[in-house]
Amino acid sequence: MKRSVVCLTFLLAAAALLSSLLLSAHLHDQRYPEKWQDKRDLVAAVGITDLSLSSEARYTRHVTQADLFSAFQDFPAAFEHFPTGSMIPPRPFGYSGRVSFESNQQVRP
Amino acid sequence: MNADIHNGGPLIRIDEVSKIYHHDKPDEVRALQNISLELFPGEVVALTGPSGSGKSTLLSLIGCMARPTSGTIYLQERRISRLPEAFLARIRRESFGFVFQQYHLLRDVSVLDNLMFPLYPAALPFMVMRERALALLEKFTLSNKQKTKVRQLSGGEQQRVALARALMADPPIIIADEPTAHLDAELSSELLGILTELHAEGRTIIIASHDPVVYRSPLISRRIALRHGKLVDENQAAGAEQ
Amino acid sequence: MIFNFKLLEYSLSSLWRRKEKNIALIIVYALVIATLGSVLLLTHALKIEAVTTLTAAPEIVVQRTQGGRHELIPVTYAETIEGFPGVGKVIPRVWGYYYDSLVKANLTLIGIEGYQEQLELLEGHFPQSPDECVIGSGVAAAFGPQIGDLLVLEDSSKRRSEFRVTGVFHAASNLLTNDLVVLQEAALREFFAMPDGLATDLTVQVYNSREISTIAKKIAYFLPDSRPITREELLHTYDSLFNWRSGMMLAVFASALMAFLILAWDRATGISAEEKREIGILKALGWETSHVLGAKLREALLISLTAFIAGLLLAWLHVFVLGAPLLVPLLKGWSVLFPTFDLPRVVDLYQLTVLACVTILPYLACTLIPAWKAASSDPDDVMRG
Repeated sequence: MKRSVVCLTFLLAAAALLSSLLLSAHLHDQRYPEKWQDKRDLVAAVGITDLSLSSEARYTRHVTQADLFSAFQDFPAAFEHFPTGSMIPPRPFGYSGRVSFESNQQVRP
Repeated sequence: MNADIHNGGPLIRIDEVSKIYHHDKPDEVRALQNISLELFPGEVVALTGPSGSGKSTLLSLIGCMARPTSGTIYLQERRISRLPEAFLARIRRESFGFVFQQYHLLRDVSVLDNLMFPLYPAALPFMVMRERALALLEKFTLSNKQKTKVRQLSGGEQQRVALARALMADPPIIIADEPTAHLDAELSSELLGILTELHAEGRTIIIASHDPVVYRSPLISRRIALRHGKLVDENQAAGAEQ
Repeated sequence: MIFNFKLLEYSLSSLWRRKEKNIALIIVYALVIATLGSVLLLTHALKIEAVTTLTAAPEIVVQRTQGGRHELIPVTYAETIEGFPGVGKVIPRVWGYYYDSLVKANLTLIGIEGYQEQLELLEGHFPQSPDECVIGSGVAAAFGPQIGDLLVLEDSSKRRSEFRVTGVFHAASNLLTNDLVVLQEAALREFFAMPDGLATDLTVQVYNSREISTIAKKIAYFLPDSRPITREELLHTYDSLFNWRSGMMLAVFASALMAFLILAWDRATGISAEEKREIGILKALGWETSHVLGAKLREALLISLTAFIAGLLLAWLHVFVLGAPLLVPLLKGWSVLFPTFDLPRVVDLYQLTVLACVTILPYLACTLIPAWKAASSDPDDVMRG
């Protein structure tokens, strides 16, 4: 029985370690709110709209601000010459940056 | 001994049993044909016959390791040949102790584990099983080999391990298939001595062998001859020579 | 309970008897889980970072398009937008890109006007004169200057411009500021040679967040050549950027999953002759089919759970302790400036649960199905081979 006891103990210890890491991460919202607030203050002060991840091309650097119309720049399956362009997909289907507005609707400026 | 033996009636009754392998296929083999016989408690029966006569097949059927193609097998007048698999497994575990021709030990497993693994499904505490196994190893002078892997044992030692394993559940019926096939004369004699002791404890023993040392032994109370899957001769020879 | 322990004991013995093969199996399985887990942890952490911090981004950013291309926006558009009820300040923004041919890095230059407040994540202070700048720590590392040093850039007429560094953003803000250079707006206009009446885009402050989309619609109606981008769209972009269908996930996920399926297929194609023989022996000696399957199930669970836990712990170590060095190239591409990750330690338990189901359950099936065939045969058939 020694084998199974040792094995189960080891497995349970590893599972406990993993569970505690995952659980503490899952509860992240309750911790260090001031850390997030500092970053939000920075975003508001400078007017940041995107994460500073891929700086190799403008349409991957500012994903949310990228041109909608530039040909072959924002669709992963199209001709591509920047590596990260194939990692970053186009704007999600059905979610257009251009809000449509029916011309017959009354709008007060 | 784990036994519930009724006096008088046959312990095992085999009724018009046939066994056909690969039925209706080009390589069909009729291993047994319409065998009928009765085995009584306390007997030591020797199944004799040349290779391919159906001895091992008959032992498999008696030991509930295979099902007959036709016919019925009774154990203590209970029909067992068509029982569901779970019941057959329990019968195999509790009523029979099987010693295979090839021993069929787990070669990379220790001697102690070889004795204990087969009994795991039984409702026995681990320590009880272990004590029983150690006692059997001592009886067969294998105590110092309990942690040795089976592949490191000699033929005679493996034979004794196989026998000890067969006795773990304290079964009333011992089935041995060519038990002396890999043994020399001295070890064969030693084995017969062990079987004599087991018989003295009240167990029924069924041995398949074409070794004259076995089937001419005074231990044998009855010889049953098989040829081409059929019973050829059945005579009671309590110590008589062939 | 005792029976379960006994079966477990047998399963461990069985696994240990084939230890080379099983250890290799656990290692490969764990590496597959570590790969998949790393992608899940990294993408989720980046998503949370973006979605949590960018809630302070401008409510609406208004761009202008002409002839299907992005164009500078007239500052007068701000007056139109400011007239809408519910709109607060409308601020023209000047920002753009700068490519340095020596370092071969792309920088993002942002102009701000008159911001005096101190920030926790800024060491130093914002530029208070046209020849001052604040830089991200990636820029400091690539170009060399610290506070008090000069940052030298070439403007649009190839003229050398010097800016004294008055502040450096902390490394903790790298994901937001790594490649930034913040100048006074007037200085940036001159640098880009941008005319006074134009801006890169406009940021619109909306008092009531529930009116953002309505106001965006109004902007699009009254300024047909404009392209309003709401904060909700911005957050949604990042929400979907790292989801299951994104390029990053598909590229790594698909190949790792393929490796796993090959592994599982190898298991499913049959158990070894030795294992079959062992099953036959145990059945001959009194094990039932359910006992054999129970033992095989325990073997498969031991392997898959050990590999899964080890794989996830490896993934955790890779992403949150080491900063995901093996996944960085996917996000970095040809970028010269790339932030060191100071990722929030966040997980999506749902994703990890799905990962567990997608890997553990098929593995169990691939182990049990061939074992079932041997386990349910007559022991005599199995031992005869």
